[in-house]
Amino acid sequence: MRKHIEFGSTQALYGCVGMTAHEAYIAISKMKCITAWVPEGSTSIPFCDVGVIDTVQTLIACKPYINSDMVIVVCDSAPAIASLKNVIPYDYEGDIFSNFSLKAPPRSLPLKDSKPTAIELNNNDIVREAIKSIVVVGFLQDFNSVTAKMNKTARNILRAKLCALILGKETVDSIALFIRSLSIEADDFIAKLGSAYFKSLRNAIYYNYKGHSIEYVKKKFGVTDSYEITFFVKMLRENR
Amino acid sequence: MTRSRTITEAKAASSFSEDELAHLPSKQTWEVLTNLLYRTVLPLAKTTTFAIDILFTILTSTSDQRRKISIFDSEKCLSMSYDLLFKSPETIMRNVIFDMGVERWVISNFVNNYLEGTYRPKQIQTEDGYYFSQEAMRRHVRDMYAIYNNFRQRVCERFTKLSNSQAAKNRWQKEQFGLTSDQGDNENNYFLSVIRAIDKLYPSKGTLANYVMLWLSNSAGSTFTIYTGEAFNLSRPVRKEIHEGRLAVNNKAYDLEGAINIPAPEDSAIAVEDTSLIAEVIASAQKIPEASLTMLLHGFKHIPTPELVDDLRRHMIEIEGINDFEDYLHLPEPDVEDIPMILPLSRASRKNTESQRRRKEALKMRKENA
Repeated sequence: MRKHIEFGSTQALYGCVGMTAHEAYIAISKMKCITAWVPEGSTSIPFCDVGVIDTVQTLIACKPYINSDMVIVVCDSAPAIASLKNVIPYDYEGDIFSNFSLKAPPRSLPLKDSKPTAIELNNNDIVREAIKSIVVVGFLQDFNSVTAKMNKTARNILRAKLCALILGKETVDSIALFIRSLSIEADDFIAKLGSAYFKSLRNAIYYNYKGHSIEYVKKKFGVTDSYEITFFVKMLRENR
Repeated sequence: MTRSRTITEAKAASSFSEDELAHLPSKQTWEVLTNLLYRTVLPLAKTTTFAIDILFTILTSTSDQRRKISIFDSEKCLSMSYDLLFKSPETIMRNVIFDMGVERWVISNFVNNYLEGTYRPKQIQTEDGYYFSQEAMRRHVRDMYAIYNNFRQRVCERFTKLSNSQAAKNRWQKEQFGLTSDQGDNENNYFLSVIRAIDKLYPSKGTLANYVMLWLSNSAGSTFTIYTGEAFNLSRPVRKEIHEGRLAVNNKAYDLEGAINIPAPEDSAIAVEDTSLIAEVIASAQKIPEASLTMLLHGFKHIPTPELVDDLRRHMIEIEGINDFEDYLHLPEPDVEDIPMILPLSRASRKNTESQRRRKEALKMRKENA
């Protein structure tokens, strides 16, 4: 059987967080186009130019009825909309966990001339996304994510090896070999060990360990997070 | 042991994988918790009286040195809260969550009640021209709060093994003195401490492990766990008095099957001449009619309106079948002062209050009489 509609893509996909679908529908219905309101729990949408859909789940349920000529405005909370790819912010700007703010919606819906937008979901862990945007991602977070996957023995070996590396008694390759021998995915951590940032961090840790003040080493080696330095200095002292 | 053998052992045991997100350092854990909570309540604070309600809760909790719910002592916390009363909602929430380090459950409690619908903060005018509509805001708060709770739960679960083992140890220790309890009860009791520690965490005061260990050691003396064969818990001084035969309180639990054979309580269980506070409270509570006691528990010392009196009269005559209602009206009022206040406070935090002073005096008098 021939299919007359295209599946899974739309002209433009807007995300609206400040209004419910009904409120957004009332606002958009003033425009000169066929507008449809799709309440939560619907499984199909009528033929329209602009479809205002309540919640991301309803959008996914109605996906077979959406074609690439339609413009879709999906109304849901910011974390729910963050689970969708290719969303154009309708009434907000910024990252939801750091600089999120609402702004007044545009007076008209600009249509995209380029190729249709696919309706897809991210499979990212939202908590992980939150941590990434809140916490300064440094070497310490990678180190913790690696040690969290290890048992006590392996953890102690890695700690001892890292201390030796900071003191110049161990090589990066040896640590990489050890981690790979445990079949742990730690490419980020290994890559960071060879980075320029780690070199300055290593110097900062070493000089602080030898007695220089934290302010001095931070300034000298350009490391902003003093917590990272004190964490590893403490580890060095415990492993002594 | 050779290096290769060590590595093999490590590899064999590293087959399990823990939740790496929950293993952030203490400061970063705090950053994520506070930021997520701040982002959750910010829209609510901007458009409603939420921030003011939080401030008043802090004020009432810290006045009279009743509790220490922030990192500062109650006096400083009180003055800071008064200062904040005249600031913008955004400043209030930022100060309360980040600077004052108020226990996060205080705020969570409000959010829970808001989502359940039992707390409806009043709307205020926002400075922003376009902002969340009421329903959209509820949705936003719900989803952001779910992320906060998810992360908090993952951090809590990191300490499950530790708290369970401490609970088992405590259970064993008490069993040596004949106080047997359920392992599950103990575990729940200890896990509550973990949750509390995580809600209180403030990185400049100590690490997460410091907080958790301190709270776990505190829960050893907690009275949440009810011992096997007991209907309700007794505090240690009361238990001691019963043991020495100076007080007769029966807290033995009976099975429902054998309920018909429960021995009748002796009249001398609560002697009139017994001057202990508990006996006085029980004796005075027995005299008070049920409706009055309910009113008293809800904080009405006097019946406020004639309508309510009529309602009560109707209720007592029609439903409870008491015709001589007038007699109740002319009963001497119970001494309200003698009944301890019912407040959601822990015992340790109720220091220097009026009731505490009276309790101390009563204990002193009793000692002198003995």
